Amino acid sequence: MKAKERLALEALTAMRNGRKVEAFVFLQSMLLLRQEQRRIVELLESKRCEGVVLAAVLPHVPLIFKDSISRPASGWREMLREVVGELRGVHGIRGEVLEKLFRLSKRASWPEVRFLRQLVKRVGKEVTVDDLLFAVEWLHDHRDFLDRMGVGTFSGVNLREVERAEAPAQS
Amino acid sequence: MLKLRRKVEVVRRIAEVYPENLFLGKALALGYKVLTERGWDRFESLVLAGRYGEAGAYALAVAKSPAVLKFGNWLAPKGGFRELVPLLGVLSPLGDLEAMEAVVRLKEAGDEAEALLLLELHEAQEPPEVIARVSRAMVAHMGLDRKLRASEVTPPVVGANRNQAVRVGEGGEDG
Repeated sequence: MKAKERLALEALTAMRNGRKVEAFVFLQSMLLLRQEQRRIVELLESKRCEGVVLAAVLPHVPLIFKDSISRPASGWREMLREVVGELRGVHGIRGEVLEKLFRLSKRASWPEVRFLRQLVKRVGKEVTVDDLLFAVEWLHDHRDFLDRMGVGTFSGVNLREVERAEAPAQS
Repeated sequence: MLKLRRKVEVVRRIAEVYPENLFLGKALALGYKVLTERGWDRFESLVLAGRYGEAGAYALAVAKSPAVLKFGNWLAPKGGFRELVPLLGVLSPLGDLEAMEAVVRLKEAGDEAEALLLLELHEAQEPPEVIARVSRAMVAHMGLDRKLRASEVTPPVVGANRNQAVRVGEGGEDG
């Protein structure tokens, strides 16, 4: 399993257990690149608290590259297509949840979308369709909370600071 | 809250016409929504006889006439048509993203004629493919329809001008 998928599963577990701040932290960690995500996963296995704190801190460290895509004007159609494709053939889904999914595609930020895409990849293994719908509903219902906590915001890389930080290490 | 007419056969015919003939389909849907008891029999017999053009023109004539009483055709209320939400659950097994988006759009921005037709289709147990096709056609036509204000109903004239209005109506079928 890739590190990003592992982190998405952690976020899902936190949502399931009602730990919304922890879920937020793992959502934010979807912004990070592979190397940092691997570090977090390693730490989660040995010293769990350290891992969570690292995931919370890293998006705001100005020395590390992050990845973010701004929302397209027409919403996240790619994400919608993937999720709807995953629900094909499943009967008895409540219309309310699907409506939330469509509304989410107009309002969500990149880390949430990336999180949902990881879940879609793991459907049938660790994740069930119910889990996927639960995550969609959770993200929709916690919109205010997530926006106020600033999901999707991060400190960009300042190259001069990177050089300054690396200089003493070389000498 | 939309009131269903439950005329299954008429609904089926309109759903057949709608995807190919957008203006006609919209006119028929409008007639289905706004006609009162008086004009309904005529409309129904025309549709069942397959004379869709005549029925659509009749529906538009009534909807635009200031001399005839009819039901209103309003845009979606605040928060959209809640009744349309279960339709999403019906459409999701198809995995048809466009149709689902169309239903969400109709929920927010559709008018009562469109919502009523979809609800009647759902009520008549039509297969989800039909609902998907009709809702896609509705959204394809919606922009032009709103721009032309083609689905706005002219209210009947009341008050000071009423006598005049009734005289206009006397010659017609409904007068």
